[in-house]
Amino acid sequence: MIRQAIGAAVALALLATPAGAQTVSGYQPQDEDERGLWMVMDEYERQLQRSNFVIRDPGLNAYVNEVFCRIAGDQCEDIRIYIVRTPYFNASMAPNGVMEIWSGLFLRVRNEAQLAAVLGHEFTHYRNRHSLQMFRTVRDRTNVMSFLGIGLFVAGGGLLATAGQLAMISSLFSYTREMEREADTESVRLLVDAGYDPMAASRIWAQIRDERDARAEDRGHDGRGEDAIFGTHPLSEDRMVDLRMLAEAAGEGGERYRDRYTLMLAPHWQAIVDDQINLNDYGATRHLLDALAADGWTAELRYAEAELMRRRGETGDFNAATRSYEAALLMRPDMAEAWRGLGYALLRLDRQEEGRTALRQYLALRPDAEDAAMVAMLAGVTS
Amino acid sequence: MWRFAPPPERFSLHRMIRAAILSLALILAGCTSVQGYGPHGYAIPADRDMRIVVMRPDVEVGLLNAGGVIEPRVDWTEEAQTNLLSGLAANLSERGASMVLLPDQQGDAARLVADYERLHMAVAMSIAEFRYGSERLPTKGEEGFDWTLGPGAARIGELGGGNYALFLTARDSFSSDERVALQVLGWAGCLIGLCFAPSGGQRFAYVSLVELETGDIVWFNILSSSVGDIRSPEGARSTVDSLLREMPTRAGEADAS
Repeated sequence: MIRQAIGAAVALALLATPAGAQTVSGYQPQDEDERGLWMVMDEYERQLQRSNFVIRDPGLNAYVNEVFCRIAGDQCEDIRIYIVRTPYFNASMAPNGVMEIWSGLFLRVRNEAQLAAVLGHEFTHYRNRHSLQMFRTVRDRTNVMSFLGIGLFVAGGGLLATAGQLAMISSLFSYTREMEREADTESVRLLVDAGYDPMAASRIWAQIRDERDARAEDRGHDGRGEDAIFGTHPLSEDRMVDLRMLAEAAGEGGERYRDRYTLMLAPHWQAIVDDQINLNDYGATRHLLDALAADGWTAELRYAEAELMRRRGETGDFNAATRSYEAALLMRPDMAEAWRGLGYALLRLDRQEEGRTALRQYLALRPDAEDAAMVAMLAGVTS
Repeated sequence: MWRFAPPPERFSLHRMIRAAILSLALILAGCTSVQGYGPHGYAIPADRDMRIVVMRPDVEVGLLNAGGVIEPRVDWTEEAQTNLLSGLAANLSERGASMVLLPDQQGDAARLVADYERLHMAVAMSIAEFRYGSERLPTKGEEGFDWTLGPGAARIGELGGGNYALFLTARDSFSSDERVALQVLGWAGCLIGLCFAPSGGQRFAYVSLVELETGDIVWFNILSSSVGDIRSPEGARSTVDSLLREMPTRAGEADAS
């Protein structure tokens, strides 16, 4: 009885939902509901265009757009990409062509192919009009349920009506997961077409899983677990496995363009990693730095490691930080921020004279720094 | 909006809490409550003619579906925006204040305006929560009303050419035929002892008047009502009239609440 009633609700909802057609270059919203969704997101874009959190650096934006155009072909003009300063891993797609990329993604994506995989996934949400499909599905299924709920209540009481509601809600979650799978699947095909290594998409999820494990180990708990029934996305582990199988089916080959990616990111890396360190998420940050240093420690990585240790400031951390700053300065003696950090760490270790000397080095390299007055005071400089 | 990965916990939670606070405050504000607030004893200085810079109104009108999903409608939203602005102009001119609609800005000025729009939204949320809601901030007390955007707001006055700024936000939704049928069914259900009453369209609007010299919010009002269809010129006018009824507009005038 319950199953029949729920089945009827789902069947009705499916009937009411038209299959989504793909967008083409220069696409404009067709129906009233689609225009409404675009209107709301156009307003959102207005705010984004004036937001202080958008990273407007022309070089980085040009690079990301170039990668996107390799993926999206003639539809590349229809998408506006905004790089937003948010130190977490994510990207998002709105129906009107607004794509957001969070700055934290650049720490977790290791090469151009992986960046392309994310862009391809989001582009699929746009091209296949997933927002509109989802909106219609939610609207139609909740409409049906509002009437069916009465029937279920009359037939079987509150318990039956609640069971119907739950089934409807879980069907909506299952629907979004289906769309995510579609976007994942399509992203692999887009990677292949653009000449990228199709395995890149799966690797992202392996990296995300490793990061999550490192965080859980450091904090001693799992945090929010993933939900198989009321989750918006398929489980990360499943995505990783599915994407790997798709990539294997697509065959070997394709480029990753790691060097190009690292080079383009270099001018921004320091700011992005600073935001990550400020999250006070030692386990994950430590994991990220170690992973990035797999091919050798650079001065920038050593500096980031030193900052991480100094900010945590537990027993032994200031000594460890001092060693890392010194390692960074061996490679790049002109790295002003490393001198400053070294000075702070030494002062905390009560090595006053050495600390002041390091701070003076910072001031010599950056006489016009914003914090020059404060550092000068700590360095005992009187003028 | 589609995200690549599930968002970090704090993001979804933050949004949910904000939405909950606002809707709670609006429910507490009552069905047709018109209770505005301003700082105690505030009056428009006697030697000052009000010239109000009207910020771009934040308006959204949609269709309320049977299941409760609101479908944003472009045509209704545009009508409401136009009608609210003309209603505002008519109301203010009758009451001796002049207004100028802040034109779209470019570059740094656009960012400055956006900053103040966001700041105002945050302050308005707090007013809704701590003045219209049941909680009181210990520092704000029961009587006082001292909320400000700071003296930097004077730059809005320079951009727009005025000494006050007015922020207007309106949300409205209208029941679909199915929603109406469901409501009828709900009432009919009462006859056989099975009562349920799905709500009709929800509308609310709020307005702030900011003295640009100081940045202080000198008048604030929330209207949550089911009268006045803001898609029509008459409805929009009556909504504006209710919202602004007690707002001071003339030199020397204090708020009438």
